[in-house]
Amino acid sequence: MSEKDYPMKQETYRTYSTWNQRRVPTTYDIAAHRTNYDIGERYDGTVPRLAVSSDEALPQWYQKYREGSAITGEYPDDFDSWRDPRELTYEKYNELMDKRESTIETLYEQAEVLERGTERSDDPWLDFQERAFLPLRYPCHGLQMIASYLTMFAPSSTISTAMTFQATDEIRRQERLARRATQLHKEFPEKGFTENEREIWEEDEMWQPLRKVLEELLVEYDWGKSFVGTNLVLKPLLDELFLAHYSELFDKNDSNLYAQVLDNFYLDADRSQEVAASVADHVIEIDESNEAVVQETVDEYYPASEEAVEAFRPAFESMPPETMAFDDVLADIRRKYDAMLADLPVSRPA
Amino acid sequence: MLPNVRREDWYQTATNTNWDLSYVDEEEAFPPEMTGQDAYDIPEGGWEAWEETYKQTAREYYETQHEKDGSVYSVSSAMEQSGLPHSLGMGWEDVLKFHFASVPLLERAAVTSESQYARFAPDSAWRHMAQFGAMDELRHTELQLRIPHSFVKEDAQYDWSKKLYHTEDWASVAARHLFDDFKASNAIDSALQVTFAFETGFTNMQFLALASDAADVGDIEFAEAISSIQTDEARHAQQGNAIIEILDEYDDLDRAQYLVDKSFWRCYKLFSALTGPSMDYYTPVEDREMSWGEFMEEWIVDQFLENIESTGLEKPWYWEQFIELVREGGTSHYMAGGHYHWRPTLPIAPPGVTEEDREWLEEKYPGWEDRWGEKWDRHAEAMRNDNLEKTVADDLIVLCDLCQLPAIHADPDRENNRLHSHEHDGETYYFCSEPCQWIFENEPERYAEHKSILRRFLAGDIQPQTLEGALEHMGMGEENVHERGIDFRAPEWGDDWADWNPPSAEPTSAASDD
Repeated sequence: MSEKDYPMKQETYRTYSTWNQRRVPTTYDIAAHRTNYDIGERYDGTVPRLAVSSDEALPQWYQKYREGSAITGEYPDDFDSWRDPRELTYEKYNELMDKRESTIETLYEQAEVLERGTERSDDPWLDFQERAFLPLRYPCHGLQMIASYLTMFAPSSTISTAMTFQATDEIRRQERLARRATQLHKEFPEKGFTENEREIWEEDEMWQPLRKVLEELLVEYDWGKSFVGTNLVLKPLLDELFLAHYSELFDKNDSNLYAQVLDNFYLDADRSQEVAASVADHVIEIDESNEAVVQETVDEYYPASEEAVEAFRPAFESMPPETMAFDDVLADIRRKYDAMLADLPVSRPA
Repeated sequence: MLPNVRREDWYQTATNTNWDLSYVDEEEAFPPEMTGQDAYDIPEGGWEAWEETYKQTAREYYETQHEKDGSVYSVSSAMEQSGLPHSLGMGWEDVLKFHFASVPLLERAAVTSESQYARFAPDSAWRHMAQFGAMDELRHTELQLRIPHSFVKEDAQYDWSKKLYHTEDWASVAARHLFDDFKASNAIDSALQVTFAFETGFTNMQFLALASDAADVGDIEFAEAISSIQTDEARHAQQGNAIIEILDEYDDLDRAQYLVDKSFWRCYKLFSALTGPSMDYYTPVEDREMSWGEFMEEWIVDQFLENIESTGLEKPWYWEQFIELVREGGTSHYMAGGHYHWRPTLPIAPPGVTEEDREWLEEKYPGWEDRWGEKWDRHAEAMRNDNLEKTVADDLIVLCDLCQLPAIHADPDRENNRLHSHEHDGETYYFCSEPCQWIFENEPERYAEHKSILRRFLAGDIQPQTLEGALEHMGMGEENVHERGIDFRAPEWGDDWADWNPPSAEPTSAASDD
């Protein structure tokens, strides 16, 4: 017997044999497809595929909230076949985000022209920022926690990867908001910037409906319902409100710097919405019974999420020096929301 | 225009985003089994003192990581036409195959763990930092899947870079047993094991020590990639010290000590099986500078001790036997012999040792010839007699019910490595060592359900009950027969030993390999 033929070099592969789709895999597929080995069954049929006792807490959680989700499908293939429409790899994501953040740095350098001149500490625009804008870093953190949870509990490594990026998106917002609050604190130390936002977030009535639905989503542990409730309901509504429409409001109030920063964040939001619609479409395609689950989850979280948005009426109509008609804002948010659902057999509850 | 602010001015504001939940129960949002708060005695608000030494913002993260990826991938594409790594020989390729089979999907498992901290850690600053940890691990998964992907066209064994952990190969079972043990823990327990014991302890070995071998061999692509990875590890591994600082402040180190003792030993065992043979047997002998034992002493023993001493922790209780094992390299030599003997179960091509290898091994591990030489002589003899199949095992071996690696060094004439056993619920469990037994005995309910490959075999879970059946179970069945390990030097290397006498040629009694 001769081993000189090196059989492993005679019979080779064109790509990883775990790839079971007909297309030629791209770099994204190579990096993200089927990389989480604990999904699905152990060799003896136990779910999930973890090497510790299935009575331990984490296997129990997976059993209940991942493989046992209200969103059903065959593990792992049904979920593994979802792919990010933008094929975002880690490398591409960082490259993109580096550019976005460099743009923000450039904006900062242009602050002299872009930033609203605020000399007076009784400028209502300052109060607007303190009460209606800067506490936003708390819900950003909440949304990061949910996206991190979804990274852990997503039924495929492709969905999980998209959620990792989304969690980091939230962090960059959180940091820019903190930086802004710190600048204002330095200029107006008596106003309580950086110190008061937590209390405003915890107690101010404008923020409470949002905090309520966010906290409820934090404990929505079923991956499917968490994903739909967050990515297909609360987050797109918030992103329209706080990024798209706040940007307009900032612009109106001559605060062009942050109007542009918010527009910059919106680029991330746009990706999250595309991911949301694409995953929803995919799960409905793999199992039609998922259609009802998606709709029910939308029905469950939409009213509270819309209420969270509506609570910000004063932020548009009475707090800033230059106001906007909130009914128009709301109508536009609904229009955008409907557009996101347009290709799905799912609709906004009446 | 508003004043400019520096990162130090706003970082804490950005990361301190804890709030008091009031619409849902705190316990429901931070369940003890996921956070770990109940397992420790830290008063309310105690975790809010959490602080890492080296801070990084999103802006800095994107910029640095973009640059790092840029360098790694540009080296990688520059090497595309170079014939690397195949031109470096099958021995070095074994190092790569072993590395890529075992590492990238474990990095992905670490994404899950870091995301658990990013969601359930008891303080927002910790959660914030852990998110970058999750990103890092995602980078490492991607990088170490993209590089070997271009090799599968040349050599089918690289397919295991993505496949290993989806199979029930024994190497997959052993590594998953450890990493699932980490993963299936609450956030605090998990982070102590992953970021303190494993990352500050062992990633240096896999990424820096191995990078130094890679540079010696001339594998620029691999050296660049894995040393770049280690720069990320060094940053997010800080979580461990930050946790221990808080525990120390409240004099609550007992559990941390237990977890560090347990996971440090477990990592040592796994790395002895994986990295030890790569450094001492597969890296071409002319490119080996330091041995696995020397790397262990420098990178692990000294640095880990230093690290331990900088905290309130103590060195693990088994330290003396651990040091002795490191010096003689026993586990690693045994595993290298095992990889060779059971090579069809592995997606590498482990070679028989040459004369230069043996001289080098004897120099690095005095007494190596006496302890291990004879086993290789017998393989060589079988090969000279045209009995190649005799150098390949045709049976299974007793496996440790904790680490899943061979439970006995099978040397009946020596005292070392006796089989350890323990009764639990009427069942006898076997262990390779006192620490493995100690780990099992501390939490038998956690581990007893898991069946080693041997137990599956004996229970009839593997059919047919033959070695072929076992290979099929391990993902090395008929369809994958070309991926099974072979001795790439066989059969000629046996001839090298025709007139050879080992340096310490005193007669030794017959020992059996299995």
